[in-house]
Amino acid sequence: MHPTSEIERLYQQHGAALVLFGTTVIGERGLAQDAVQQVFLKFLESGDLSRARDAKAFLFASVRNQLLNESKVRQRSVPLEPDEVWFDPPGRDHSAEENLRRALLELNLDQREVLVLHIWGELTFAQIADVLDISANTAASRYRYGVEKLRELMCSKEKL
Amino acid sequence: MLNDDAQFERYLKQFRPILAERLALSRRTVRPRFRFWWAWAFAGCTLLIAIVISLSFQREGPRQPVFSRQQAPDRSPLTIRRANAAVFPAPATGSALDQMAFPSESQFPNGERSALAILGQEKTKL
Repeated sequence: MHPTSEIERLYQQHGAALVLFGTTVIGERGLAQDAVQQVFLKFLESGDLSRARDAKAFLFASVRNQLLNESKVRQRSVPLEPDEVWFDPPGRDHSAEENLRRALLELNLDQREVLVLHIWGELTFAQIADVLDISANTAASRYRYGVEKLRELMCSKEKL
Repeated sequence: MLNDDAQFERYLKQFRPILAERLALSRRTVRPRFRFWWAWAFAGCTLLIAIVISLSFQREGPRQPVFSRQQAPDRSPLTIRRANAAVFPAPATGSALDQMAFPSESQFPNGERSALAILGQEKTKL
C-alpha cells in the first residue's frame, strides 16, 4: 500500500498535469481540481494505487473516469471560461496563453486528450492507450492530427 | 512559425500547467482516527451528567416533607411521660391540656392552619 508520503509525492509530481488534463476534458478547472482531489483521497483510503501496474497512467485514467461520471462531460463543445487560466506562460505572455487555450478547445475531445496526455502528462502512446482504452496506434494517429491542427490554429491567430 | 513537430512540442512545453491546490491530506489522515469523535463526546457528556446527578442525590439524602424542616406538632401518640412533661411546667393545667390537644398556630409551617382555628372563625348559627 502506498504510504501517505508516496501519495503526496505523486500528487506534487503529477497534480498540475492531472488538473490540466481534467480541465481539458470537462472545461472547468474547479471541477477538474475537485476530481483530482477525490481520486487521490480515494487512493489514500483504499490503497488501490498499489495494485496498479503503472501508477501514473492509472492516475490519469482515474481522473478521466471520475469526470466522465459528471453530466457536463456529455457536451462535446466546452464553453471557454474567459478568466480561467490553464498555463503559466513563458515570459508572462498571457495572450499566448489564451491563444493556446482557445486553440486546444477548438480541437475535438479525442485529439485534445491525447495531446495533453503526451505533451504535459508526458505519457507514452502505450500509456495513453491504457488510459483511453484505445490502441497505441490510434493514440499516435490522434496525436499527429491534433498537433497539426493545433499548430494551424495557433499560427493562423498569430498571423492575424 | 514552428514547422517541426518536435520544435512545436518544445514550444508547447514551455507553457507550464498551473500548480494544483495543496492536497488536503492532513485532515483526511486525522479523520479516520477521530471518525466518531462526536459519539465519544456525547458519551463523555452523558457520563459526566450521570455522575453529577448521582453525587447530588448522595449529598441531599432522602427528601423529607417540607413541614418536617420546621418544628411540626408532635403527632406521635400522647404518652404519660409527654403529658406530665407538658402539664407540670405549664402555668395552668387547662391551657397545657389545650395545647396538647390543639397545637397552636405557631407550630404549623407557613400557610397551614389547624382545624380548630378554622372552625373557630366560622360563625355557625345553631
